[in-house]
Amino acid sequence: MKRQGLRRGLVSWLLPLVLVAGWEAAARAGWLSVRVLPAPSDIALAFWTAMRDGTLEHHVAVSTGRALAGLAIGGSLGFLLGLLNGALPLAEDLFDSTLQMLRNIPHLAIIPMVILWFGIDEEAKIFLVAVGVMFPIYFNTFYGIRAVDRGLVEMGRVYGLGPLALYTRVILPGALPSILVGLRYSLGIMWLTLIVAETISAQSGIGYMTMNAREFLQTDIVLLGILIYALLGKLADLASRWLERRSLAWDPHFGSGMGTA
Amino acid sequence: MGLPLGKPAIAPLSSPAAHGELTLRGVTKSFGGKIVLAGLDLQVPAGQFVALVGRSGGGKTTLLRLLAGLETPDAGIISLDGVQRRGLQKDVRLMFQDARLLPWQRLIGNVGIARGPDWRERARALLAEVGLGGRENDWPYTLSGGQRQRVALARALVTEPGILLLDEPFSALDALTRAEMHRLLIRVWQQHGFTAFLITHDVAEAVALADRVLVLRDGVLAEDIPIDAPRAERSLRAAELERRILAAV
Repeated sequence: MKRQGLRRGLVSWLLPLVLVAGWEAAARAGWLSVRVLPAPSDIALAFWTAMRDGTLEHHVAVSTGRALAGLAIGGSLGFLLGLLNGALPLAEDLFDSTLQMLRNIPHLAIIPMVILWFGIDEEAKIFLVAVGVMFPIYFNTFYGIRAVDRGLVEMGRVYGLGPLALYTRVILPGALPSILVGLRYSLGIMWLTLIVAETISAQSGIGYMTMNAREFLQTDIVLLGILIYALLGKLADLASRWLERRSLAWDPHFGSGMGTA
Repeated sequence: MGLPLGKPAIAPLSSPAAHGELTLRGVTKSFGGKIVLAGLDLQVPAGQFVALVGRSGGGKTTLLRLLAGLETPDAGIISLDGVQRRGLQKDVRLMFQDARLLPWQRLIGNVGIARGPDWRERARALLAEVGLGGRENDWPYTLSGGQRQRVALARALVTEPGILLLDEPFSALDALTRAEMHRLLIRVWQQHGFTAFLITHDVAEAVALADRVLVLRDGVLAEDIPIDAPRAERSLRAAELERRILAAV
């Protein structure tokens, strides 16, 4: 089974490899203008140079810091609101319809407002990311809690669980799959928002790096920035998948099937 | 497992739980103007195995939910061991039609759901008692329907309740598994000495298991039939008893 998985993994890499090889050949043969699309080897060289002088590390660290700060703020806010509205009908009546309305505003549409409020400082970018990630986490937490099997909650009550134990042992674990879906969705929004925000206004970060390179027609750096974004997005996705496998081991769809005697 | 079906008609003296006496006086409950239970009187001595049969929608489940404390009666008194009570009780446990195991807890965590002192040891012992020893760390999704109900039974008994309510817990099982569960239930009932209160629409099941069969019709007890034959000999008299109960339903 392991060997079969390995072969499938190799096969899925075949097409990208052929494409990159074709691209390299086309660039070397002069069919592609360097200004339109530099050769993969040029991008690799640009990567190596940026690594060695430390600029890449700096920009990646700045962008990742912004992304995670926004996720931490917006994510915890969405999670807490979801918990509150899922638990208390009064809170739901108070907040839910307002949040539903706000959700329908594309968060990138408020960029002009955000620039007026915060200027083009760090706060503006973190604020945008926080707003973007808050809603998916809120809705998935809220509906996850709502969708918990009522029969299990009733069982918990009959078996003497108090409100706190009911929440930590029955309701939250039941809502967890949905919460993690929200998190995964948010991670996508997180990078997307950051790209836009950094492209519009920044003095550092990958978005700044690519916009700066564009002014000097350094197409290889622009492409490098795009690739770094793709890589970071993939890493975030892998992290959330790992989290799903770890915390949903009880679910045969996610778990490794451990625990069978 | 080839367990003997027979048992003394009275609960054994060695029973560790000398509690579980149940008294209902004038218990009334209605939903939206429809009277479901109309002044029910009932006395169940500690350790008795009672089966309640009746048509669906006849108030069986309502009565069980009242006894479990999930509902409160509109009028009347429910007392346990001579003390009137309201709300959920630590001394009463309920086995549902579906096992209602928490999928995200391993078997030991499900059985020891109420935690408390040395819950691990107790849960492990109960799992062994229902024939699932050594599977403490398995996830519920690895179990069959009958095994799930075994875990539910262990979970109900881990706190040594005085009263065990059973809401048709075997109705979804195949005939062979059901017969196995019947033997297991009788065995643990004899060992633990709790009062068993079983709802069922299966008259044969009621006759096979109970000391006493109650027929609930139109919100009152239409029949109260003691079954004193030893369980091993019941199949001989079963046809006659079943006819009598079915006539009352």
